[in-house]
Amino acid sequence: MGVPKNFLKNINIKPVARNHERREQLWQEGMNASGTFVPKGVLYEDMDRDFIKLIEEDLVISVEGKEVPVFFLTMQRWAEFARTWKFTDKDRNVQMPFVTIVRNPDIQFGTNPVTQYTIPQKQRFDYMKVPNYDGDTMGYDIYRIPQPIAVNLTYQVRFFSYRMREINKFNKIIMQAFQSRQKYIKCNGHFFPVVLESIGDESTIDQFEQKRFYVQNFEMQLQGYIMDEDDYEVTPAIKRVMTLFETEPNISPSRSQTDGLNPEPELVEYSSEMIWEPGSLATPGLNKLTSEVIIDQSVLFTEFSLSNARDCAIISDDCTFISPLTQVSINDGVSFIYFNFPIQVLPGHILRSYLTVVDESIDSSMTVRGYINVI
Amino acid sequence: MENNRPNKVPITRLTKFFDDIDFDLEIGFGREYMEGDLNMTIILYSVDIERTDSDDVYKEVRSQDIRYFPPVEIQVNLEIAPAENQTYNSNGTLRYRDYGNMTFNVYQKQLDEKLCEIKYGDYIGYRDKEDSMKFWTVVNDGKIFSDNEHTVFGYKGATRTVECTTVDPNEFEGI
Repeated sequence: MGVPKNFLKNINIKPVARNHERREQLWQEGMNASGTFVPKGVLYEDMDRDFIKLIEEDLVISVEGKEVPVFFLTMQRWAEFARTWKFTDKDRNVQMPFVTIVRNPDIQFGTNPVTQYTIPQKQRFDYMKVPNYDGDTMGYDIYRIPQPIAVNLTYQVRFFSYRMREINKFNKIIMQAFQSRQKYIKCNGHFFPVVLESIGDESTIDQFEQKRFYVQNFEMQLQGYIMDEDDYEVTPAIKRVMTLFETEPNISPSRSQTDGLNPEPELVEYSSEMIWEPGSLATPGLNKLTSEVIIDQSVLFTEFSLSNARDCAIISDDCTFISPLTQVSINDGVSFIYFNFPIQVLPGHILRSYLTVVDESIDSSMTVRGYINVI
Repeated sequence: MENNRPNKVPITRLTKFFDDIDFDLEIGFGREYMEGDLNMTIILYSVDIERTDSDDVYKEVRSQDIRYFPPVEIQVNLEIAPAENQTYNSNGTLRYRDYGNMTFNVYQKQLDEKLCEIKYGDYIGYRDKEDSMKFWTVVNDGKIFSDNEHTVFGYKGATRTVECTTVDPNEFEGI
């Protein structure tokens, strides 16, 4: 019986993450691998370890029911013996078949264009902001890491055997694995391509009167990069800090000060009037002294207006005296000091002014206006 | 009626002072020395090609699948070359040191008496120590032995020189 075209024969009960979800998954995998907020570092030994794992686990073959051993070989003789003794005969010679891995000691700068010569001088870049709390303040730490350094590691993987059929078997596995020229390994959460560069034959078939065996050499190149965790930087960033400080309440803001002087619109307006009456006291400066006004609120005076008095901010031909001259006393009238607007006054402070009166036959006054401002 | 037996023509060279009786006498002296005095024994595992069930394509077999005729003890005069330190990898890693090649001389008459033949690829066992049997494989069976070195005064070939190289247990391990 035929099956309808759109009939699902296999239902994927574990959907594979894609796009952004997959990227988040990869990032999470990196986090899990390192156990920190930054990617785990990758060095040469990490790449060697995972390359060996690739050969041992993914490209392994078995002959006569036994797994073919894989030996990663270095120069130390005892280390070589330590790796191979389990697979030797009574003469302590390794029995075929087996696989050897030798890494060329000369590691070259990488040819992977993704990370090639783009950022000079180990410039570090913000990787992520990590919130922290030190018991008092909330803040962030900025984790910064430099661009990884691309490297190429070349490995010689040789398969030794006495039989053509075993050579075929291993060669087939390699061919299938590198069908698309490259195979990826995952090293500390980083994905690196392994490229099959060439396949060579080093068999000793021409040794007619000596021991003969097949040797097939697979040259592979791991295109990775190194990230040294010692190069990571963690720097503190934004912190939310509360700073308390005391101020002298009678310090007048400077003329150039602009911030913090405009009261909030909802503040309550306050005004007070200083009056001069004909016949009242005159001052040494020929200006007329107004009556003193005792302030009963904490007020920020910002402006003033004059009635029957001249407004002379500077001395000129028309203004032989500065008017008005304003004074404040913060010690119950014992002494007065000059001030300019705006000024913050407190309850009990006394204001007075000197005016150049226009018509001395009528009252003259100065009205100061501001806003109640509780400090 | 067809005669399958090869024609035999008597050898008459050197006949004035050497004949077949002298030849047998010389061989007798030599065998007394080689088989009696030296008594260096090897074991011939002659492969039974017909009974060995080999791979259809490559004619390869596993060591345990090799079938051979009943092993035969042969007294020979042998020499084993010194072992060499070698490495499997060209960069000097994975050392191995195996026995050197074995070369032995054997009287053809002994082989004829024991109804055995040494052929290319047969295996040779030699007990170099009480608890150790090492195997070689024949790389030169010495079947042509009419040169001066292997004849008695140029009368007729008497001895064969057989060359062998070592085999791993993976290839052959005897009984």
